[in-house]
Amino acid sequence: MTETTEFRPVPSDLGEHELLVNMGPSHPSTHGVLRVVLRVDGEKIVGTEPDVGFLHRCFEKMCEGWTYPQIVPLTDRTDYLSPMTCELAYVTAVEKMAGIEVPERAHWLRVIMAELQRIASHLVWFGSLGNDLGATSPFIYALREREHVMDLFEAVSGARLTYSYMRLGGVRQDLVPGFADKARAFLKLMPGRIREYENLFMKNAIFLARSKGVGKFSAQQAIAYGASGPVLRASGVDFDLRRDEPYAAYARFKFDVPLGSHGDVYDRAVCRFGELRASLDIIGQALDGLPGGDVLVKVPKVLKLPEGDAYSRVESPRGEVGLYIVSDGGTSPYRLKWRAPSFVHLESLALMCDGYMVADVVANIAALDIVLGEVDR
Amino acid sequence: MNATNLPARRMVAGEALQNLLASRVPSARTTLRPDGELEVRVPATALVATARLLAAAEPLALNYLSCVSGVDWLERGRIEVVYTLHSMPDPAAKVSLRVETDRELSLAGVPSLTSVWPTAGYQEREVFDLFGVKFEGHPDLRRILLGESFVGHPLRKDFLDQRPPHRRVTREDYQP
Amino acid sequence: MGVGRRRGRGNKLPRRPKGVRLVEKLDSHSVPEKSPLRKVLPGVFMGPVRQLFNWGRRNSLWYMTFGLACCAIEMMAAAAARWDFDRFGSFFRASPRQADFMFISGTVNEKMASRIKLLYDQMAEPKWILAMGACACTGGPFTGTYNVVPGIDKVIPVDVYLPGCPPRPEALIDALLQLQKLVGQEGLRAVPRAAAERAAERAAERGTTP
Repeated sequence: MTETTEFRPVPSDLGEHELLVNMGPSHPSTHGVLRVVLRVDGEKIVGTEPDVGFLHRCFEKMCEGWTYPQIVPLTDRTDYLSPMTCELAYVTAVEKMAGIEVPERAHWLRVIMAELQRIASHLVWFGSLGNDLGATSPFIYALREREHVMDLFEAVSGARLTYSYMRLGGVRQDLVPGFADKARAFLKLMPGRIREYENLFMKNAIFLARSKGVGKFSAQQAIAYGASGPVLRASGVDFDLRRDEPYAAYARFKFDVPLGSHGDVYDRAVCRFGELRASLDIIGQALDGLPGGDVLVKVPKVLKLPEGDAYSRVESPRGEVGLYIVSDGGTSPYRLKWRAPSFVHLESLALMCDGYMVADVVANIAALDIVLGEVDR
Repeated sequence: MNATNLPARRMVAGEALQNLLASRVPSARTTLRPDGELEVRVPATALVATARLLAAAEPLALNYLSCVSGVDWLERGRIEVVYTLHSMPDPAAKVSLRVETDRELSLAGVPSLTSVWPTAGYQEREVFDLFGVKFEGHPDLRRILLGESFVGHPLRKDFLDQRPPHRRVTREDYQP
Repeated sequence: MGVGRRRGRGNKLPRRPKGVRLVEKLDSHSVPEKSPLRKVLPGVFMGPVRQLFNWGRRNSLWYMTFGLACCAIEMMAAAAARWDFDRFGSFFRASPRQADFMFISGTVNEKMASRIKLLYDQMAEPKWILAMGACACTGGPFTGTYNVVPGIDKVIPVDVYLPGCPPRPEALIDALLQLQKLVGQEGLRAVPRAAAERAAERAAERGTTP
């Protein structure tokens, strides 16, 4: 074979330029209808720009036309992976403004439901994280565990996803017979399963390579960019609304609040696993010490809030869910603003992704645990 | 942090902030609520200065912006923008910073606070999108939740939905 | 004719109503003594070509999940371990090119509607749409608001409507079975292929500008 030594000269107009890569809104790994426009230089990301609004359902405008009790089912549909927490945020805010005193038993039941919901939501997060990073088995295992929680919720509220369980003045109904036993059986089952997930996934070399050092987010950045929940704690800021600004019956419980240090994907995962264990602990304490009494007080059929406004916040599995309600003395809110943690976290996605590789965008979105229902409302 | 003392510590922090603002920002009108939240009303010209003051206050700086919300006061002809601030990690200071602007679309504008709290970026864009309030100094002010071709600002009280009625599509008359 | 036994006319099989011709599994009674088919029994089925095609189509319907909102979570749960979708032959394909039908699960709004139309055009024929949940059927609790399209059937043609908010996974499986029944009635006459190809190409060129 003759060897050719003729080299073609490099064309003088050959240059480099950035590529615009569009991710979504139909994408298997964007946790919903999120569009991210990436500017990439080879494999390295130079610019990230989330584009949201593909699920904007006019929630806040609707609230201005619906009465206060009617809004409870609507709040379920904002963060549809933790509807109990959304309802809790809403009823806490309205009850504070209206001065409604909720019975003690209802407060404890709210804590039990909110913590069960945290477990269910973190299980979906874990499943999606595995799925996005290429491992499908965690998804199936996590949803299998979540079915236990769904059964408990269905027993007490009648629905699997949109419960409308928390009401203004308490909760809809008391625990059904057998609930406590089933919940305790679940509490005995979970620690072994969590250990199994950690052994299989958190110690997996591929996951460690894809998560350690990826999406670093310092504590100052976290506070400046309004991070909350596990994202904030993974960056090293020790703040948990359940402990530091308690609502419902949280002041009576002792629980761990896991803290990270680097603010990368791995630390966020570790924080959420720690929260899973802490939630099991809280539910155990609550079931043991559940006081007796009513679960619902009588609230006027036509509920009018006094004029004024207030901001009230709770700790959802995603972060701080805040509700700013302005009342003009009528039966509907004059203005209801839903502060969604996922919406605020999306702004920091650019900070977490710039300079990393395209595959890290998926890991970052999964670690932020966004839900488009609350981003867009 | 002692969470059980929170209302009392909020009052103490609120009073300190009230005194600070009274001495440094004369145009600010402050009201301390019984639960410790401090309402601060400033004109748009004093907004950025007040924000910087609050974000650097000692000992509890209001370094955490929780929520930016617009409120359309139709009868008064004003739109109010409310910034809810907390201190982090000790939440003992809570302030709601309020500024009002004219409702008229061409006149509705306030300075942006993204230079003080970067998290205001998306939230101010949302207020612009849904209320039509322009934020001067915002790095990227455009619609965020609604499509670019959407006409109007829907959370205004006088917004009317003027889309043509939708008609059902069947397989026979579907046009790709 | 030769191979099968004639129905009615004094033999033991009951006469089937006119017009219904189904796939039959042949056994040793219906095959003559010297037929070479005897060697491969009992693995022989006989039926109209149309039924055989439809049997294949309906038992391997691959769906493109268009998980928009809360219904997407119930769809994920239906595909997971407890109510396994895979046993019906259906599983998730992320690309519209590889999917037979699309679950529209969730609320459709004005910004998203043009993207859904684009995805529908990119799907290859034969394709079906299953509107899951009240929002995809009629707009659901959000109907009448300024940004919500009252049902996906205002944008693309829908074949199966599944109400519920969200529908339980059992209901979702029932809807899938209804869709399978619908697929079983498909004809063999080809879709005007040239027109469908042109439509898909135009859709791809159009890009994502609404």
